Amino acid sequence: MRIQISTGSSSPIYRQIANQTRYAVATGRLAVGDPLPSVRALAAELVLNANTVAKAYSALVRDGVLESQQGRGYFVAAQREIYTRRERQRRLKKIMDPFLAEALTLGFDADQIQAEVQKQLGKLVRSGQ
Amino acid sequence: MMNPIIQTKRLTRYFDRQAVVRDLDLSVPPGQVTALLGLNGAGKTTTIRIIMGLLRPTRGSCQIFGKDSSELSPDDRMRIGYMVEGHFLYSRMSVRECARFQGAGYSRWNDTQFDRIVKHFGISQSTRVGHLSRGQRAGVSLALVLAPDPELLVLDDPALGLDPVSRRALNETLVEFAADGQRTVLLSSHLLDDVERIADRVMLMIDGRLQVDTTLDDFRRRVAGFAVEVDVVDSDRVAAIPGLIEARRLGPRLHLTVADADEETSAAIERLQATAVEPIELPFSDSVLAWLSRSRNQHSFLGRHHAGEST
Amino acid sequence: MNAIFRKELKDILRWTRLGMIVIGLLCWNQVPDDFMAFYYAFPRYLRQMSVIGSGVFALVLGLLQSMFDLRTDARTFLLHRPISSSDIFRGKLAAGFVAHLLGWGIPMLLVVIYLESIGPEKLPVTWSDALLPALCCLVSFLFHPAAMWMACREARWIGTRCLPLVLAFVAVSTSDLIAQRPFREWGILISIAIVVVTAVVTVAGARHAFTRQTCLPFGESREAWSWSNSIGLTTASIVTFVVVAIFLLGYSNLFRQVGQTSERRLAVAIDGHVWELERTRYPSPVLGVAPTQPSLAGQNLTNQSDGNNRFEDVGQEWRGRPLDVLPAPRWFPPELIERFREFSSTASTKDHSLSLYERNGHLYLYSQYTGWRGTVTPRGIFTPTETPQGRFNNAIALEHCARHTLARGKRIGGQRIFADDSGIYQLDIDE
Repeated sequence: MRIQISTGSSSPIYRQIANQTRYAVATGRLAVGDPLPSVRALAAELVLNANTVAKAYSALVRDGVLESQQGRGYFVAAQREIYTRRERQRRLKKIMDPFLAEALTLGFDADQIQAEVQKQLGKLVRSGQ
Repeated sequence: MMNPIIQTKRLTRYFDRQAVVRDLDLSVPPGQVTALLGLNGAGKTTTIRIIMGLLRPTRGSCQIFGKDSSELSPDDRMRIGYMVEGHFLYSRMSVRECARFQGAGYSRWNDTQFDRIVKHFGISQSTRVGHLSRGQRAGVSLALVLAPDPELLVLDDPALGLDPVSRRALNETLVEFAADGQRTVLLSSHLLDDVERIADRVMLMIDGRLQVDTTLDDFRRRVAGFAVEVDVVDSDRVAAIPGLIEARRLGPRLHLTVADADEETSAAIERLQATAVEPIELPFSDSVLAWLSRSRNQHSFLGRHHAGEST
Repeated sequence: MNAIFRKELKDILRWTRLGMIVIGLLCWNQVPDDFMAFYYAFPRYLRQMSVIGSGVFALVLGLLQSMFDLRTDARTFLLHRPISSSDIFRGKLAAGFVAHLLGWGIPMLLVVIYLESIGPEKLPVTWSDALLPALCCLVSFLFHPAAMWMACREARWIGTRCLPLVLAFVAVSTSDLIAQRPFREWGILISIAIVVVTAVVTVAGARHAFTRQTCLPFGESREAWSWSNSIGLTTASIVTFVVVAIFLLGYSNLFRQVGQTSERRLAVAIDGHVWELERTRYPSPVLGVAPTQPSLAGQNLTNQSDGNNRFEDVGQEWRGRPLDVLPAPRWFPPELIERFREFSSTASTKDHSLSLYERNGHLYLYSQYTGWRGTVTPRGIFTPTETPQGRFNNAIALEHCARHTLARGKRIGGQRIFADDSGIYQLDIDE
């Protein structure tokens, strides 16, 4: 997995790392139990302050995406339900609202949007297997 | 916060009746990378020189390692690595002679470290400094400064005039140096992207005064952006928004940059009677620019266009 | 400090080569190669020229070593290292001293070799003639710390900024004065003390300026004061003021009364009578004031009113003095600096003019064209290849009354008559 961060973006760097890692886990590019580079190694590779990487990793640990094993580093954690169903739905709605607003603004109608979503989801699931 | 490594109290310095540094209360905590930002002439280099004991303040005090800056002994100076602005070196010396000359005072001099950094920048040690490129001179400067393994690194505009490859080499070296959290780095820079990468804390100097002194994340959080769609701009109401740093007109929208936004801010924005108010997340460089250009606007004739004039 | 010393020395060695050449040329210009060039200009002109050369060289070195490091980035680069700024200053001073020493030392060494090679055969010179010029060149090194002080000072006008140079001038002038040996013992000691004190103040002032004044806010801090500053600059200001005042007032007025001297000499007339002559001299013309003619008054010692026709007893205290321009200090052992001292001149029977130079009680005869002709002692005149026997004791030259006969137009030359503690001698040279 290759993380690429960009400076001067409206998203803070630690969040970019976290998001890209999340995406990699979600798409299956990182499987459960895969080791992640150590904080210092990733910091050196991306030329970043080690604290930034550490912050990204702790956010991921807090969200249950990664787990930290004493003395051995960070690994992809098994999916655990840490959010309640209500919380998960709230989060989904938060992502969906701007996405739908943007899609409608682009001129797509509801059916087109749904078809597109199906297509992309299918691709995602297939590539993960 | 643990005992700060550098601490100034009401530091003031005049040059010919002009106050270049005013009432500065600055603390640099240990173990972190602190970036000092500011426009040219904001007093950054003067402050750094006073911190290093190479200039005396007109008023106020400055302490480093708990001692007054003007009383630094050679043993204290061994713990500090200072990279001079402009990467000054004696151009007639070869790189190897530079190392020998520099190493003369330090009890801990790591030749391997020096060789490694110099090689990282692609420099051959027998070359004369005068024949090196700007970026390579910076590499030699950096190597000279890191070889004695200092506790505190002070860099005055280290990336000035550097090509992108040398800049990356510089950042890589700094990141590695600061990685273990045992060493402190203070650097002044204009390159906001680099600062975003490597700094833990950011300090903003405007007109010789310290305006901001927080961690990078707090800085981002404290500065909020709003894109406001409004037909008629009421300059007074815009100016009345508390914590307003900058207001720029971009097309049909007014972009507001506000510090420490709270309910009062929202209320003031409401009073603008805008048709739409959209919060925008600002990149780090934009937040810094907003702060810095505000002081420049106050002095320049361009300021009128930005303070909410209707077009 | 060693690293600083080595680096500084390396930096200024390029200029040392230039300095050596310039000082060398100045010295070469003043080194005598025949009697025409010789007379009274040597070694005085050698001393003055070499001191000017080495003084300027020291000044240039001092400026070179300080001005390039006054640029802020150069200064921060030099001073941020873990070597105290005093040590850095000392390193610079030491490097400057070594470079300066090479700059005048090598030409002076060549001068010494040359002097010894002309030896006493061609001209009455020895290596020791270069000793006092060398010492004066050594003192002129003070222009180096003075220049550094001057460069590092925070001063408003170009005038007060140059004050430290005045101190160096004082030291060099004093050393030049000592070299002319006009003083008695206490005069020499005071002069040496002046040179030493000036040197100490100059170096201390330069060190203070280098380490402190370059970083202070202008005119404010307590640290700007130092004892060397107050003593040194005050003295320099006073000296400048006094010198300018004297120059403006016209020093001839001041010295006219002082410069007037009268001399008494013993002279032997052709008829063998011994006279005591008194001669009044006035200083040389300055600012258009012409001297009056020297007058002669005489007292015939042999023709006394009581009719006795013999020499007066001159008494126990009377001591002869060699014919120097100015009297030498009594305690100054002549063996310390073996110099040929100009004694007098004389004429041979064929009216060839010969110069007489005294050294250690021997009188050396020199012809203008052929050099060393012989050595005169009380036992006689020896050729250059023979070893002379006997020595004079405090020889002085006596005037021929005849040379000063008031009958103008009549020049009666004559062989030299002189006296020492044991008698009066007349020199007869057969040519």
